[in-house]
Amino acid sequence: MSGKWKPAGRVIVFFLLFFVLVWYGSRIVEPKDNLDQDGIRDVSANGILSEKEDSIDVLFLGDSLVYSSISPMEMYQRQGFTSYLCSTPAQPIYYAQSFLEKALQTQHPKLVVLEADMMFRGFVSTDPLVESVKEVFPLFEYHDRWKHLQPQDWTGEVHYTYNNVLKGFRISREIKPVDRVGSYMDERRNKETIPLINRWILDSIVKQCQEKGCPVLIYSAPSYINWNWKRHDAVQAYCDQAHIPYLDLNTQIKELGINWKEDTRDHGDHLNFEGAMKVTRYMESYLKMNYDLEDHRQDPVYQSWNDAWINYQKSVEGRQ
Amino acid sequence: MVSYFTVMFAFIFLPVTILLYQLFPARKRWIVLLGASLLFFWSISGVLVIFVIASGFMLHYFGLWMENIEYEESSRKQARQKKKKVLLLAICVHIGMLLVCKYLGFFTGNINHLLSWMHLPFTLTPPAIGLPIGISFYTLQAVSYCVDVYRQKIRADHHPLRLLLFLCFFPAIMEGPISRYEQIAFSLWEGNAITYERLTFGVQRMAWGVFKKLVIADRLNPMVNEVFTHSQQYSGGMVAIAMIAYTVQLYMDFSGTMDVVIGTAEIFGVSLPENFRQPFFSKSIAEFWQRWHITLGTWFKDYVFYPVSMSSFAKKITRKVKKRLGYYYGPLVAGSLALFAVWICNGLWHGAGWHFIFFGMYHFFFILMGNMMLPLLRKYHLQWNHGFWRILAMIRTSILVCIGELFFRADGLRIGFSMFYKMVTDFHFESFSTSLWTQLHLDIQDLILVLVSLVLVFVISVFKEKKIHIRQKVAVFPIVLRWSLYYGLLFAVIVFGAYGTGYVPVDPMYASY
Repeated sequence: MSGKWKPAGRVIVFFLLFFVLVWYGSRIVEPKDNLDQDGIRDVSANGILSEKEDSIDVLFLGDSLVYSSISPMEMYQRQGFTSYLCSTPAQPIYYAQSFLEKALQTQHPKLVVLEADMMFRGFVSTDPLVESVKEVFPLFEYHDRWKHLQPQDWTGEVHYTYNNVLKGFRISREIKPVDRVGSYMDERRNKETIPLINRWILDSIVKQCQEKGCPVLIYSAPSYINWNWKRHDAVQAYCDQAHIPYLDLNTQIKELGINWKEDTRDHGDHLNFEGAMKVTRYMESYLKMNYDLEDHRQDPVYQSWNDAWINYQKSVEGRQ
Repeated sequence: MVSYFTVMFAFIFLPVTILLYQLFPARKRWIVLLGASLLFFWSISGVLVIFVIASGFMLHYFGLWMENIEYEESSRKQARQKKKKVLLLAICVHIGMLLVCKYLGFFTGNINHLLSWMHLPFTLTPPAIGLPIGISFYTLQAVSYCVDVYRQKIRADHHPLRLLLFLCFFPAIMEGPISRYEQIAFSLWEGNAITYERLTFGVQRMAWGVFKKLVIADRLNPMVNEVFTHSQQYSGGMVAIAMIAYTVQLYMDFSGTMDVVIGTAEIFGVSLPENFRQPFFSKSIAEFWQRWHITLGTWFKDYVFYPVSMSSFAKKITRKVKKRLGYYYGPLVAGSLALFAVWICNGLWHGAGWHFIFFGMYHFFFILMGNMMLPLLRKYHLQWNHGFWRILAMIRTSILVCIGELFFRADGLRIGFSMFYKMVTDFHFESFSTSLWTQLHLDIQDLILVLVSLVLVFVISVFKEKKIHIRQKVAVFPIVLRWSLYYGLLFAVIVFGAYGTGYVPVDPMYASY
């Protein structure tokens, strides 16, 4: 190697070795199960990792409005199709994409449903890149696990066992009413457009789903605080352009029977359990009517869902 | 981009700047640095970038004005008088901008208190201008340039963009160091090529700075915040621990950022002045300030202390009191007046608040005491320069510094005093239960990690104190050992750094002063 190239060669070897070490470190610190005690982030959303292969019909992605408005077990019990909510608090759209990629490794959903609120959520422009790096090298996400490493972390294989009976749903029976109920959709904001970077990621999500043969539905959960016509128009314009159906439940508050004095847990930001039941009933009928979703209730392969229903009921009763 | 400790800066902004800088011809490389600096400034302060641009152009104008007076006036005395007026105008404009942006709220707040105390039915509302990033730092650089041109220490620069780059060079804009024109202006302009050696040395120093900030300072941050925010809930012993933790946090944060800043500049072939020299090895408060935030201390010495102590007023006082107080204490009176001016300015420079002024006066008191007692100490050979006494003096100075930092960090003077009172009168420790650890956002592993890291910092400080150049030593180690050390440092940052999920990113602490 000539003198000029020697430093460059060294730099390359240094970083190659560095990445090998980071890869090895990642294997050590990555959670070996998707249980809370294994240190995995977003336990309920990551519950999808332990769902039986190719068993989820409908995959929901989005922020807290999703897990506050849809109960997959209720939909299964009444309509027989399976669904899972990969929703996390304040989920940015790039994180939704990350969940989609993770889910598509083992699932082949018949429908992907995106909640629209996350399309307006801002983030630092490097965050999607950081998220991608974390996926390849979990060391950057789970580096703090050095405090809790067990012998099996050094040698063990990754094996997901967590069975989330709520399938991503979260129960809250708290009632904190909207103080003054008015026509919240009429609230005018100066500008409501889907930020460019969010739009790029949204395009990429839609493309990914199309390549896998999964239709996409975009929906807006009822939210007194977060939604308005401006946002509705922005999402509608996108859906028209991309030929995607859009279901804005904020425009159907009366049909749903949402009462903002009773059905919200935090003054109109999120729905509570009662509100979620109303939305779930509407959503299950809509999905059953518009998509070819099989009824698995009598299928022995889906026995775990029937078992989960019993535990789900206990959870619901337990929080009364 | 919020700071040097973001992905955007470390993995996008800096590499792209380095690449563009290297691709540009040497004579045009300053354009890359200036463009990058203005972009960096804009990304943090938005349209307030106009302040630094205005400062740069005004600086150019005032410099040329003073130079022209020099050429045009035949009488040196007249020229000096005219130049003095221009200098005063330049200082007023720059300090005025700083006062308006940083202190208007403080001044109007105090006036409003006075008005309400006098039961007058009106209040003043300061305009919301915003604070351009680094204004406290680049304003001092601007003033030093004007004074140096006035003193004919340097020639006025004829290129406004060189002056602008001197003011807003991106590695130094957030926290300094406060450089002098002759120290960096030309190396910024020369366009030195990035060499392998500079790149590796610069990156090494940056990695060390990131270690100090992310592994030590940011890990202590939640605990310090908790105790300082809810100090009334904690015992005096815990307040004392938080006081020490805050001092460590501030030192690791500021000196770590300086390592990143100086390392970044080193890549571009720019030698920024050092800001720290093992401050906790100081035997007195005066020595501490020669080792802590060195560029601020030397700035105050050159542009406040000397002008005040050499003024005709100070000389007059010295003449009067010398006969009574003798040759040591006589000049000390005028010196103390200058010292008082320095510490008022120092306190106020750190922030608009009475606790900052108290912080300045606190250090003034101890430095003054040190000066006054020096003859006595000399007489009785109590200068504490060797062995055990030296260590004792270092511990004493560190304790005094920590107490000063308690007032510095407290949310106001009253809270500072109540914390100090609690520490002195109620010194005991609560039992370290699980709930206490949770409340403090710390666990035993965090504590061990911080202590081990501090031991490492201490060992390296001892080497530096003994003038052992560690980086040069490491550079000649066999490659396996050398790379192991580098990997060790990088993985210490990756694994033990307080970043990512569960941690709130902490901006460099001095960037807000």
